[in-house]
Amino acid sequence: MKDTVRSGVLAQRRRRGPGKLQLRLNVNGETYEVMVEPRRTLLDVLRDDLGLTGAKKVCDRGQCGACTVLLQGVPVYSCLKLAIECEGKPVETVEGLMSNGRLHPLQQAFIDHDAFQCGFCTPGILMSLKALFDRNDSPTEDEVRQAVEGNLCRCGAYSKVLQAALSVARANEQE
Amino acid sequence: MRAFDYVDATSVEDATTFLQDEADSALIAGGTELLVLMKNKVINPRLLINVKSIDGLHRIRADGEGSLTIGSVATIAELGSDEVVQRSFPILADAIRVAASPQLRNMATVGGNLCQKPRCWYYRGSFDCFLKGARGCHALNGQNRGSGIFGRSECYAVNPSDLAPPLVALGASVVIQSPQGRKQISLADFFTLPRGELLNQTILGRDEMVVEVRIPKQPHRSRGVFLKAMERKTWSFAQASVAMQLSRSDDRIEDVRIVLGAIAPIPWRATAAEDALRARALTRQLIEVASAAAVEGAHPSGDNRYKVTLVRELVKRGLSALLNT
Repeated sequence: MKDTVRSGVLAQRRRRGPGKLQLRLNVNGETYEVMVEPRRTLLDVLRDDLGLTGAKKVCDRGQCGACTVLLQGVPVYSCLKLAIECEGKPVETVEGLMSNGRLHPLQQAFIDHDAFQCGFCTPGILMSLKALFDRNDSPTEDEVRQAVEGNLCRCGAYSKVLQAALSVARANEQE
Repeated sequence: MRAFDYVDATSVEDATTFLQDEADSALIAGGTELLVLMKNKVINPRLLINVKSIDGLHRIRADGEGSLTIGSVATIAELGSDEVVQRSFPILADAIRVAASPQLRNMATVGGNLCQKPRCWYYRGSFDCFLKGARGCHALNGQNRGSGIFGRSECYAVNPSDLAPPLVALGASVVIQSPQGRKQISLADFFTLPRGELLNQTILGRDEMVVEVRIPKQPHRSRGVFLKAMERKTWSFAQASVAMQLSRSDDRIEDVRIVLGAIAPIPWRATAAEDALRARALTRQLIEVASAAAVEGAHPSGDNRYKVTLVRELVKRGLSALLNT
């Protein structure tokens, strides 16, 4: 019984918060140290602490997809992830899509096909598509549609998004 | 969100001990449900216990003899891409394909899906309602498009889970653990009508946690169908759904389970329809009888009358799909 009580005390010491604590986040290959409360979401920390405002805060309830980022390579809603849950796990945001000063082929295709109007949903859609193309570089139309099911575009640019993504898929097929 | 403490659980025992020691605590797995409720200040825990950190709790194991054990923090995406699920339990794979969105399936867990709270906007909004300890149900004479047509209790909110109907149709059970020990119960018995002191749609106690979901081997020549009616084609909660699994011998129906989703506070067994089917051969005529039986006793309360038609039609279409298989 004594052991249980003692381990209970040790267990209570593992609680972190509710105040700020130091977290190490890995975003787009870079390590960031931040001081944040456990209640801060990954989205808020990305935007307000790291200045990475690509992921957008719209519904803040997992109902729009504008905050989509990749966590360990898969798309998630960063408004429903606590930053503290992401310690040590690679996060990718739209800011990391460019490499060596060149736009990602998906970004270039969005420009070429005019795949947005207001652009607010674009970073999230790009990240959903990036995850798809990372595991399948020439997806079918159905696969593209399914990949962006969790991203709303209220301007209604869906058909241009589809064209843009399929143009990249076709280009990859020919390589 | 109100401020809270956070701890990574090291084991199920560790997690349930924290639940026991801190009355104002909650488990966090996918977080897709919990954090929304916290942002809306429906619940305000002082401690979040992360159970994704528990070693092995996300594992999905086939025993090689046709049954499957699913760790409660396996994500819905992981379950949907499991080969055994796709091959042996296709109604579950079909339900997952139309559940939520890719992002939510990547985050949300199987255990969390079974424990999710109703989508009733009185519950989610700033209303005092039965589920929050007040008396009466605003949905009875209020906005009740989404409310239930079966299982009248003190709350009219429906169970929103897409996974529960197929899992109940497959005869699944859940393993629950508390500091007092472990128990296994059928998933059908895990769900309960909210009433009296029980302000929930499950029997899960304060210091209990869903640890595993087990799906048994299905009978030889067992076939199933899952159908879900939605307001739009994707990323939407069910208006009504049906999961059915039946096995035949010499063309006569032996085992049959028909489970309706999003029309009652629990996954609802259409027992009258099952009775109509059992020991008979499936014919178009019998399908008419069974689909009419599926809505016997329905008690819509206003704007949810369309659900009666939906249920009858879903059952009819589901059985028709099984006609020549």
